[in-house]
Amino acid sequence: MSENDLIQNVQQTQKEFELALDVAKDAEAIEALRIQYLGRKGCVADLFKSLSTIPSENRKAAGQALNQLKTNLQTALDKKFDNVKNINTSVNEFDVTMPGNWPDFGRLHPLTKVTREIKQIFSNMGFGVADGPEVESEYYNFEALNIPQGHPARDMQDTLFIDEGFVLRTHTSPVQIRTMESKQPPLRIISPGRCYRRDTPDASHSPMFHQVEGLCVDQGITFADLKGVIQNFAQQLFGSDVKIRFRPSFFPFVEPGAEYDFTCLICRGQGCRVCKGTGWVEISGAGMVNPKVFEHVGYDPEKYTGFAFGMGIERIAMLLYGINDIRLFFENDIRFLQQF
Amino acid sequence: MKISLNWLKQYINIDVSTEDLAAKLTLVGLEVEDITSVGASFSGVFVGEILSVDKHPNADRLSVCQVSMSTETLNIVCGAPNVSAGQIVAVAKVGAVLEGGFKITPAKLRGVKSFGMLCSERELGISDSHDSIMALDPDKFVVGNEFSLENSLEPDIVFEIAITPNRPDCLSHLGVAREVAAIFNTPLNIPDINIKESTKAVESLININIQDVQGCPRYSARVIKNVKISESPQWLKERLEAVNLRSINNVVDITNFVLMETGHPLHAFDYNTVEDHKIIIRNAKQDESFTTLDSQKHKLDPGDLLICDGLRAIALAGIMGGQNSEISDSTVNILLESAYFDPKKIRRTAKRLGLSTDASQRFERGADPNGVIYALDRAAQLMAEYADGEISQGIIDCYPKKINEHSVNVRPARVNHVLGSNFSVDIMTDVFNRLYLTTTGKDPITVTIPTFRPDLTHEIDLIEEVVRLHGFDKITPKALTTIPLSDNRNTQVDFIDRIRDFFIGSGFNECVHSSMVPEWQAGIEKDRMAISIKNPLSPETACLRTRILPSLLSAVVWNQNRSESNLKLFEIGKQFCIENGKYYEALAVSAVITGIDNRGSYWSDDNKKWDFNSIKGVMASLSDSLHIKLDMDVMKHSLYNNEQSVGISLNNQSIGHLGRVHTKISEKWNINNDVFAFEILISPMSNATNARTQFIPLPKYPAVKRDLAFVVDSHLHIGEIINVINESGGETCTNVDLFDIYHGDQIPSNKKSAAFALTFMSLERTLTDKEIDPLITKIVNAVEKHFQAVLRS
Repeated sequence: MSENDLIQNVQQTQKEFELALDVAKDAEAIEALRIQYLGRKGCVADLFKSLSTIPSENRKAAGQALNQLKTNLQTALDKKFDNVKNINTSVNEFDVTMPGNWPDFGRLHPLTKVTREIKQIFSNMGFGVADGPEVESEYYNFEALNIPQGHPARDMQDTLFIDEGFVLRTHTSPVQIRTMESKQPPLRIISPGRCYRRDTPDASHSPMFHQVEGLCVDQGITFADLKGVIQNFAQQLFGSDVKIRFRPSFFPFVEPGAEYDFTCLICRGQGCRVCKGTGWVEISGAGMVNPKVFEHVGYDPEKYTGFAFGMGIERIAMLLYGINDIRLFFENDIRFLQQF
Repeated sequence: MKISLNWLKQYINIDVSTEDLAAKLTLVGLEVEDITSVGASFSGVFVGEILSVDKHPNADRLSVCQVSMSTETLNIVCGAPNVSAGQIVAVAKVGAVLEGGFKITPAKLRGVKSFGMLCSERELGISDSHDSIMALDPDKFVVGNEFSLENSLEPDIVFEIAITPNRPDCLSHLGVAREVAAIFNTPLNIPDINIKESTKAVESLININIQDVQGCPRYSARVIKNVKISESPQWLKERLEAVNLRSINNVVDITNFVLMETGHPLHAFDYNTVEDHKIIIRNAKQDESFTTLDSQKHKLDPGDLLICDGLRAIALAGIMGGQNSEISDSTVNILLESAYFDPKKIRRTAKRLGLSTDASQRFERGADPNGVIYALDRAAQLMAEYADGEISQGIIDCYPKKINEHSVNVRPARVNHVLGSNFSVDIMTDVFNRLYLTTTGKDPITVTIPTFRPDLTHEIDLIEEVVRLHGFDKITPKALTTIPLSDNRNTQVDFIDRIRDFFIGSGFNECVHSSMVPEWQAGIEKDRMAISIKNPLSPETACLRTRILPSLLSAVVWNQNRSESNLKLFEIGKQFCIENGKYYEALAVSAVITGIDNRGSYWSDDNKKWDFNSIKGVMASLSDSLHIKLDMDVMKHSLYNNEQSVGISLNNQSIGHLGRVHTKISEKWNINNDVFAFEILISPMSNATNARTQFIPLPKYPAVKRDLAFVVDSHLHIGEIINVINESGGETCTNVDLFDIYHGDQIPSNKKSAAFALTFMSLERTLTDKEIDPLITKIVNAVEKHFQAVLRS
């Protein structure tokens, strides 16, 4: 056989193969073609055998042509096989149980979520949002709130001191004073923010925590309004069957001062472990703004009355989500953050 | 404050359950935090002998015992491992009531009947031990007798009440009894004083001189002679035990008893140690020191008040007595002090010396200046009764300026105006009278305030008393109706929420960390001075963070140590530092990105490692979403690697930085991966965003796209080329995108090829080649000229 004959054979084989491949519709037909052309006794193998009949000086070029043919056929078979496989997957074997491709999204911290809910509820009742510094003067944190120097009430909260006259605010109540100094009644604000106390961390204490303070001042504001606002808040956040209870207590900047409780969210008031059998969970303090506080900011206590209340955001979040350890909020473990 | 129920019942006659009393106290502001029972609290328990112990047929851990009670033999199933025949044990028979109100009834345990229970120590309230039954000493207990504990206390209930600092009058049993009497409207029985005095006049025995009348408005004393110091009687021990006070001897116990009864602190001196039989109340001298009876030596200052005799100090006024004059077993004569000290003065000294005692706590909140004599007489009477003392005739009472009761006018209309209530004058008057506040008149009601209520000084205080006793539940909640028309909108809050929304939409999880960090974290940048806390809880929380970024690095390492290294985190919080000697705090947002993008398709392996461009893209898209033009320029910053660090500015004001966190820093946190981060201030952005985005009409004419590639020096910053293209392209060139960077065979080795896609558009017409070509030429010329660039054809 001459070199030219062989090359012609190669071209012929390629053409025949392409026609045959075109009509092959499934994996079996393709496999049959592979055996027919590339198998041990296939036609390409036959052509390789005939290589020995070609004069040695022309053998190299012919060999190259043959190798090229083998590669071409193999590539074409592989490609067709992949196509057929994909068609089968998409038409006959589409697996809807495969996990979807998640878009990349993040989560808000649970404290942010709860703060947003609280802001929303109070916003609907006409309360705006105010803020103030966290490194606060003793005047705003204590004196102006009727907690004078040398008063035993200063011991009610363990304070972290910065320097002469400055502390890390122990509550967001200083924002009350700052707001009243800059605005005249009527006013309705809440002030969410970070607070600091010298409490050893445990499951229910954190030296840094978040508080929302509320303040409402106008002519004719009464304790009945305070009860109405707290009741509305409790029912919007925890459900319409939630009841509120006020107990007398003492906070120097409000009088009458009270602590307020909500129906236990776990047992809905029946009495359980969480509420120690009382049916109530303690939320925080509230009361009518003490006239002495109005005097500090230059409001006429005879003309204006007002109420103030506070609440710990972590406490609310723990009740809402069933979180049992306050420290989880600040560890920022991704397994925690991704639950909300 | 611990309040014993037995003790309380000495002064009031009430028939009410423990739980009900606790709930009522809580509802008038005396919050009962805990209720405990003390002493033996069981009945129906007898001594028995175990005759035989057999295995329970149906339970491995139970035994069936035959127990002889002398007249009868009981079949009792027991679970204790130590039970054995021959033991003498305490048997709770059917009908017995054990600790915690647990009643014994006939029972069937796994099919075997049981008639009683063999007691462990816990069931009898002796200890918490519950593992084994209590084996009794056969020599001390007789089978069949009722079981009782040796020296057992009378059963009692103790309330732990949280007394708020405004109510010093409730730091005593009589004070709490007065509240209970008010709640139930029953009389309060204050013990009568009945004193037999000797003929020896007290004036001949002691001389008192107050040098600081402001610090000590009243000082009174009695002398009691020939006392016999001994053990206290059982009832007195029980009272003190119930409130957690250790019994010492009859005289000391009586002063403590009267303190807990009346709330008025007393002090007993050994009369024979009082030099010159003189008492002088004066301020300490500079550098004077004093040893209190707990053997602590205190260095004093001139603000501290001392009780002295003719030679030396013998007590730290209102806080603690001295070792040199304390009651000992050999004491025969007693000088009994009852005084009233200035609250502020006592508080100052107690705070400074870190000495908080039962006495100082009461004086600093305000004792009753007119309760001095009652307490003195009450103690003297008890010392005569229980220590055989002879009370000398009369009292020395130094009270130069009497502190009188004052009165406060209450306007009934104001009460209802503040409370939103509709209480009648009768209700108000009734509340006052129940609280031992006498009233005259109806409008206003003039209320006389006894000196034991220092908290009642203003009308509002009495308004509080009305609702405190009458009940907050008598006020009907009202919905706020009028909406104040004030500028309540806080745009900064809205702006911060937009930032948060951007981040969660971009796959970042929000973190919240404590603002308190260790010193090494606060000092991460040498030129930023941290604010340190004077009295930190621990070195871990000694400073306020100067940046948010270090907290996020802590979160990276926390999660890395829990096998999660692929993280996108952000936090909004305040940076704190000292600037020009002032405390500075500013809201900032920081974000970190580290590891690989593992959210994509999990069956492909082309997960991409986050890099500098990832964080830069986040910054750029944040800027775009907020509609604020932030500029990023090359700027070295100590937080980032030199090569990968940029500054962020807004209107030429630097507001933050971005880059690849410096290896030296991530090593300090032990972070294994590269971290890319930024931190920017929020206020400059929210201030700049006052204008709303203005709508631009959608283009009516098609845009034209042209690609340009330049060969430039390989060190040239791409950002500079883009700036030049934008400048020279003018308004018509609406967008420039980099789409390829090429280094390779086709161009010299010190060069790179940068290819840009340019968009041209006009709002007025369709652009033609004639218009665009000259612009292209202009751009090409400008780039070539600026950077010695060559256009690739």
